[in-house]
Amino acid sequence: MTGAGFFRAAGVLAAKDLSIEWRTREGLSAMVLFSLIVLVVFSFAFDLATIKQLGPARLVPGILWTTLAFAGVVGFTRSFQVEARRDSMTALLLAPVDRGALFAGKSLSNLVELLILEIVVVPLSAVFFGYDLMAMLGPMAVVVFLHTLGLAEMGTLLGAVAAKVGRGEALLSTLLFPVTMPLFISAVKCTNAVLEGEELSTVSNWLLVALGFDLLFLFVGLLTFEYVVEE
Amino acid sequence: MTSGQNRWTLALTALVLIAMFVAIWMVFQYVPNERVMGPVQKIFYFHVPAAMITFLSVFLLMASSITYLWTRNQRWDRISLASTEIGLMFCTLVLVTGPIWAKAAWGVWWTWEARLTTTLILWLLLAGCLMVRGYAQNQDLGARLASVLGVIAALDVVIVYKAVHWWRGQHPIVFKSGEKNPLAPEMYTTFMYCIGVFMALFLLMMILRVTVLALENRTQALAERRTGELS
Amino acid sequence: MKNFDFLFWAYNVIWLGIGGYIVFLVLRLKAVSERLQRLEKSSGD
Repeated sequence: MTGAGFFRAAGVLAAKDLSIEWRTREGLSAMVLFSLIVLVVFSFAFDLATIKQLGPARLVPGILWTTLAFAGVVGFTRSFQVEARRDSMTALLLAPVDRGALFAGKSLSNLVELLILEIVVVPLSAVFFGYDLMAMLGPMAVVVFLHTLGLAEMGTLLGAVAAKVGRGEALLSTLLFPVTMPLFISAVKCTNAVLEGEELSTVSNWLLVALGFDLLFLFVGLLTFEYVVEE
Repeated sequence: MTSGQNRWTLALTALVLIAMFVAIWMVFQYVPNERVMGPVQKIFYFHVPAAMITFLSVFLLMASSITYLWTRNQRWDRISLASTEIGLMFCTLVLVTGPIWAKAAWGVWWTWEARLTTTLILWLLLAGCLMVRGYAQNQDLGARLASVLGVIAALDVVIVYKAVHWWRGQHPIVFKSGEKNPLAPEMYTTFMYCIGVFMALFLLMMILRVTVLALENRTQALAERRTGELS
Repeated sequence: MKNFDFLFWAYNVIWLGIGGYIVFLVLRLKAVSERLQRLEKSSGD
């Protein structure tokens, strides 16, 4: 398959997933509501004095990324359940499409859904925990995007594994969270630096960890996805 | 297993058992106590070799997983499964002996230090590989999924280590490259001897586990053929 | 000496772990060898 064909196939697949999602909005609404609930639960987990004392820069990174990771698990599981319900995975496998393109397309649609979720959740966290998002919009976007990319890749690959053995969120969480641990640490560190108002260059080694994770597992996913989905 | 192979395995088992008793003797009688930490430091002669074996198994897991995906030869999958199980066992030993030493030396059972955290994550990753195998509907699927997870786990553990190391670190490092060996000669001998014993132990366990797996596969194939003939 | 307690437990855990695993392997090896022999004998008939 040529390079252009690969990207076209991945694009078509992602567009198909997103258009199905757009028609029902089931997955996204579930993810948004779920994140909202997790955020509220977290704000009850700490009493007001603790929240005031720690301040948003210490508190928000952990809460934000835990929320996003949990919501991501909900989304990844759903994206393969949709395939299973319509039995469309079999059709996709019959199509003369490179399995790597399948991975790229699925990751892309998962990435877009997560980014849409974040457009809602990040401002919400600013409202709930009181920090000025507008002042740090650029660096925040860079940090969120870099870490969401890795989460989407890993979620797609491991979501396929969990779906293949017929298990849902429980197995996906036990597989996904240990693997994405470095990404999680890096996300918390970078978000903390952004909220402290520091330059991104102060956390450049963490951004490199995230970038390295993204690239390495993009590569691994492209190579190994066919072994996961094959019949 | 032929009787010749059987004899060699038995001989190796006896040899390893004797070597282990010698190791216990050396650790408790031959080697002097460390000046600062006293006898509790002796756990180091088992803790460190166990950690080495853990990482050796992970390396073997990665190599055999890749080879299995490439060749689809069952033999490699047996090695991959055996190294996951044995790696998990040694990893458990490291995680149990580490805190016992830490309690005596640092006064706490657990600290979120780089190597400890990495080992814990590695334990979770290996357990995930075994879990997916257990859930898979058939052996072939389990082998494929576990191989993909094995590759991910082995690559991930490197990034985890790097990330956690930047995050926080205080593990005692006894051997630093380019420095004069700080151990007393008896300590050095005992330590090297223990590494040798653990290597032999690892080899023995691999042989036993792989043989059991191979025999089980053959038994199953034979049983299936027999039921096929009967029906 | 208080330190020795820790050491004692640590070694016990190690030996129990390793010994238990090897015993488990040997038992399984025996069971599966016997089963295989039975099968091979009965299919030879």
